[in-house]
Amino acid sequence: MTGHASDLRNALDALDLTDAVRSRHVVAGRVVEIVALGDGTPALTRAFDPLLADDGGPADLVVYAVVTDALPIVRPDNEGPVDRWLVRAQDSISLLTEDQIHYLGDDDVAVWWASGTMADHPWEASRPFYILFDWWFEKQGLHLVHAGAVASDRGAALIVGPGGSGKSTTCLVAIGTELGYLSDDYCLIEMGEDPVVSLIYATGKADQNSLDLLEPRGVQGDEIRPDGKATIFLNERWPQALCRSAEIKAVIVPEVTAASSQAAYRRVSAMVALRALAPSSLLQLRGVEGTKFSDLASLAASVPCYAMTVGSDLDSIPSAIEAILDS
Amino acid sequence: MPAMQNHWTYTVDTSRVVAETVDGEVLAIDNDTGTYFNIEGQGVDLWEALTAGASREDVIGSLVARYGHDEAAVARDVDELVGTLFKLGVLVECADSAPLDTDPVEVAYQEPVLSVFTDLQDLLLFDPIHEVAEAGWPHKPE
Repeated sequence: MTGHASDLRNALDALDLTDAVRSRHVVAGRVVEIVALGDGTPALTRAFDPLLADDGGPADLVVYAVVTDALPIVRPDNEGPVDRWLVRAQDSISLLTEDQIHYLGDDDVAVWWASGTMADHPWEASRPFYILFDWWFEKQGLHLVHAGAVASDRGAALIVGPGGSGKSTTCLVAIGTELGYLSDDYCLIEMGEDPVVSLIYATGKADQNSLDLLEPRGVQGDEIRPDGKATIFLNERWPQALCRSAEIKAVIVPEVTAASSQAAYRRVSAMVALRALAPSSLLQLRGVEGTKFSDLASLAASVPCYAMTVGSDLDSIPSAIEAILDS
Repeated sequence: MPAMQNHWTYTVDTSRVVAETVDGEVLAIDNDTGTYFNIEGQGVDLWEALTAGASREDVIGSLVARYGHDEAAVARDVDELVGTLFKLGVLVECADSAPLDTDPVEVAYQEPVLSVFTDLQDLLLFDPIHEVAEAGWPHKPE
């Protein structure tokens, strides 16, 4: 281990972890231990399903989440553009920014180290460590993707599309219905003969317009993010609504429309679904193995894909999804 | 960016572009700009030829031989599509043209269709990632 990675690990070793908050979570069947130290870091575990692993065995991944006044290492050359530097070393991968370090070692030790206070990192609470999880889970054969997912006892529908396409509302209306909720933004998919989607963050997000629509269903926002959307911690409010994993049976591209109130669906090509899923996933979460795009293409080609127009009649959305999953 | 040549031999810049073919269409994503694009029709043949490295003459010759289509029309289509891809910055010059299929096929020639999408560029433009060596910017990884 050399360079910044060595310096970072030495700084980690030098930390007094006596006051660290440790928690264990089962994510897609893997045990992830989070060791959080510093200002406000308990907020980083709030998004995780409280399905705790307490068997005392070794964790598959240990994530150290540390917030300190200053970062323990600085980028080698700060004369360059202010942006994110990705450094692949022999035994680690790191993303270095002005105020955050994301590090994953080959020994399944990950570090998210941030400077300042948690208030300086307002996006983290709704999708903690997503860059680290993107890297680590891909090494386990899973992909973190930008997609929602809901499931019936027949299997799951992946809800795909860029931001603002109606993913969140389509997924959040599952609360209180027969459908289980896995995601409205990021989820894990595992390829194979029967591809599976798993919950990673037990959160949802909604803007005020969506909250107004969802309010009759009892959906309320918790923390407000910088983009004005509210984060909803479903594990705290509706733990019974959560589904941990399910076989993917369909991919649905929502299309918000004012032309009709009732949800309606039609078959579309795999390319239409892939275009809604892959660019927004890959541009945010590139992975490290170079397999994500081809696996997403295989997924889109292997299950039926649908476009679903969603209007003001939210009650019609879950039944339309159930009909797709039943077909 | 260098000017486009009249007699080019280009390949896809795979250091920035990833692509997959599904249902006879290509979806390509430019990780440098956040632009993504969809190619249909015989543009898919052209893209696949460019992926391996291809000259203008070889691409046109292959499409004419395979589809029995008018050479002037094929040349116009190739020039238009390659010109757009070149402006997008996703092609680079290469030394050699890989051998291309010239066996006739029983399907009609379909004009290339390129659809370019820029709606996700904000994902990168405000927060770009530079892959660097440990020495830092501007050192590229080895």
